[in-house]
Formats: sequence, structure tokens, C-alpha cells
Amino acid sequence: MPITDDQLVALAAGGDADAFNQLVVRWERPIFALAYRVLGQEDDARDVCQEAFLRAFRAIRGFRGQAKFSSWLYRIALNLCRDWIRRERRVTMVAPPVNGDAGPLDVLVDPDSYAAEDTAARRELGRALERIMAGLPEEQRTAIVLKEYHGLTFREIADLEECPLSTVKTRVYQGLAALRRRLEGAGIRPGTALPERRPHPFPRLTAARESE
Amino acid sequence: MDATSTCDRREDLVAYLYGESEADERERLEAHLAACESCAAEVDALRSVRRSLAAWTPPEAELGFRIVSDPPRREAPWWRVGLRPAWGLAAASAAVVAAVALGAIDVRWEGDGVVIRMGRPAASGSVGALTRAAAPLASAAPQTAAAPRAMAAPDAGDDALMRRIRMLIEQSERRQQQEFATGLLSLAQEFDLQRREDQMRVQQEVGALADYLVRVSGR
Repeated sequence: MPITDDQLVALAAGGDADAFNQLVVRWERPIFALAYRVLGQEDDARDVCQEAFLRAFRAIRGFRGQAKFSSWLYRIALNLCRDWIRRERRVTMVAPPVNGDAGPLDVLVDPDSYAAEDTAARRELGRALERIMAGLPEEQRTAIVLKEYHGLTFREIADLEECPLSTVKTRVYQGLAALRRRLEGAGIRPGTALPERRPHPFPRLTAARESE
Repeated sequence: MDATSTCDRREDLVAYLYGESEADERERLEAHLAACESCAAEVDALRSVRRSLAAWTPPEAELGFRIVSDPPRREAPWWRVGLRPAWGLAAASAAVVAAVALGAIDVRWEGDGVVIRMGRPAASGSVGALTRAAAPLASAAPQTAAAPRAMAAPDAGDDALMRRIRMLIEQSERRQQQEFATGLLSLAQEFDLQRREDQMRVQQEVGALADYLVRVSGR
């Protein structure tokens, strides 16, 4: 039976740096991906990722398991992301259109081309999405990222963000609706003939909870 | 463009979209979708957006970040935490020597940054602010505020001139202290940045060496 996060946390709190490093190995990809999608900058995301683990390591003895380790870590990382955005304002380098409907982006994707799973077209779509996501309000972007790529439930997101469940649903809805408008505005028919989504690659917060 | 505006079921739709509706809610919504074209179209559109989102992947970053320190938050003297390159030591000792020489400024390493404490420990109430490397010098204000109080209780028998002279001297000292602290703080920040950089590099090198040793000993 694989060792659980909680067991590793207990060892790390007792001074076992290797145990903590196992937690790092487990969670650095998800945390980096989260920071990357929220910040939109690879270097910043890497910095935030490292800083999140450093802070978690320093505070691990004060972490008494009130929450899942992963939830706690997500919260540290999200707080760091927000500090980063407030300080650097780098994310707004891609200026969102004021009226909410994007003019045509310079990337135009022929929807028929991704029927053939054209990787180039997919990459183009990815870049277009990245720019459009960067133009969303941060709360909407974060809610979509947590939901779509990290598989958190609405309840888990609400706990993480310390806001009502209905707020989370509204944010996701508004974000998706804005994405749809902006994709269409950029000449991209959303989701046309794209292959079904793969399940998200990260361990689920809930899965970890159930396994105990 | 938002077709649902007449139905106002956004929260229900989004819960349904992600399969988080309760069973009875789902049944009710499916019945509604069968009857309401605009809501059905909305769900389809949002589903398409979700499929598009699969195309956005983060870059393949080199992470490999590992902790190589002693147990967490053991209050170790900062000069003993981890490996330290020569530059860091030089900067550190300069800072310590300077702080000791001044007497009134206390510089310490507290796990997550350089901590500078200003003011004379004896003069309670005007100890000065705790300044961390992250926060720029906020310590000037409390000291300045405390000054009139200190001046309001002079020794008996001092004449006005002596009082004035003493006040001028103290003000001058304080200014010098603050200037010095500002300089020290920027040095500390620089040192901290360099330290982190060096530490990462040393960690990577030690890691590489350890890998090499393991490989060698494995033969």
C-alpha cells in the first residue's frame, strides 16, 4: 500500500526532509501547472512553485491536518500567485478587450484541421486559449483552472477560495461563456471535432481523501 | 448571445455540465433541456468550450526542486543553515560586523529572511520597528514619534541650551542610524537573493555529485 500524503506530512514534520521531498515529487507538477495557468508565465510559475514548497516546508510542523495537505498546498500556491499578480501585474500584459468580446486574434485556426488531430493547429488553439484566458478576470480563470485541469469539485474550490458554492459556479459559468464568445470572436468554433478530453493527469484531492 | 438569460439556470447548467448535479436535479434539468432549445444549445456550446480547453497545456518545465536542509524551523543560527559560498559569507560577516559595531542595530536570520531590529534595547517604547528584508524600512516613523516624549522628560537642572544641543545630537545620531539601516537593508536584500541563487546552484551540484557517486559505487 502506497504511503499517504498524511503519513509523509507526519514524517516531514518530524524533520524528515526526504519525506517532504516525496511530497514535492508528488505535487510539483500540479502546483507548477496551476501557477502557470493562473500567471501565464513559465518563469514566474516556477518561482511560485518553489516558493510554495519552501513555505510549506517551513510551516509543516504548524500544519496539523486541519485540511488535506494538497488543499493546504493549493492554497499557499494560489495566495502566492495572487501576491505575484498584485506585485508584478505581468498577467495583464495581454490586455483584455474592454467590452469583453475579442477582436480577431492574430491566430486563426481552421476548425476542420483539428479533425485530423493536426498538432500544429492544436498548438495554435492552445496559444489562442492561453491569451484569451489571460484576459479573463483572475477569479474566473482560477475557478476554471481548478475545475477543468485539477478536477476539484465545486465544493472543494469554494473551500479553497473561502467563498460560497454559488459564487464558484457563477465564476466558472461566466468564464466559460466569455471564453466561448472570445473563441468565436477569434474565428474559432470552440471544440469542433476535438477529440474527447483525456482525464486530467493529476491526483484528485477527493481521491486522496477517499483512500484514507 | 447568452441564450440562457431567459431561464436563469446558470448554476444548475454548470453543475450539470461537470456532472455534479444531484440525481433529482439532473432529472429535472434534463427534462428542461428537452423542452428548452436555448438551454440545450447553451449546454452544447459550453461543452465545446470545455473540449477546446484540452488544447491548453503547460510547458514541460524542468522542476526538480528539492529540500536539502535540516529539520524544519529548528532555530539554527543562520550561518549554519546549508552550504554557503564565499560571497555570501563575506557579505554576511560584513553585515554582522557593522551591526555589532553600531550596537543599536540587531541583524538576524529568521528562516525566511533577514530581520533587522533598530533602536536601543534599553529605551523601552522606542525599540523601533521590526524590519524584514521584504518590507522596506518602516522603522523611521516610530522612532521619530518617540523622540518628543524622550525630550519631554529631561534631567532636572539642564538649561535650555544643553537640552537643545542634546536633542540635536540625538537627531543626528538617529538620522545616521536610519541611513545606515537603509544601506544595510539593501545589502541584506542583495545578499538574500544571491544566497538563494547560490544555494540552488550548490544543491544542484551536490545532487549531481551524489548521482555520480551512486553510479560509481554501483559498478
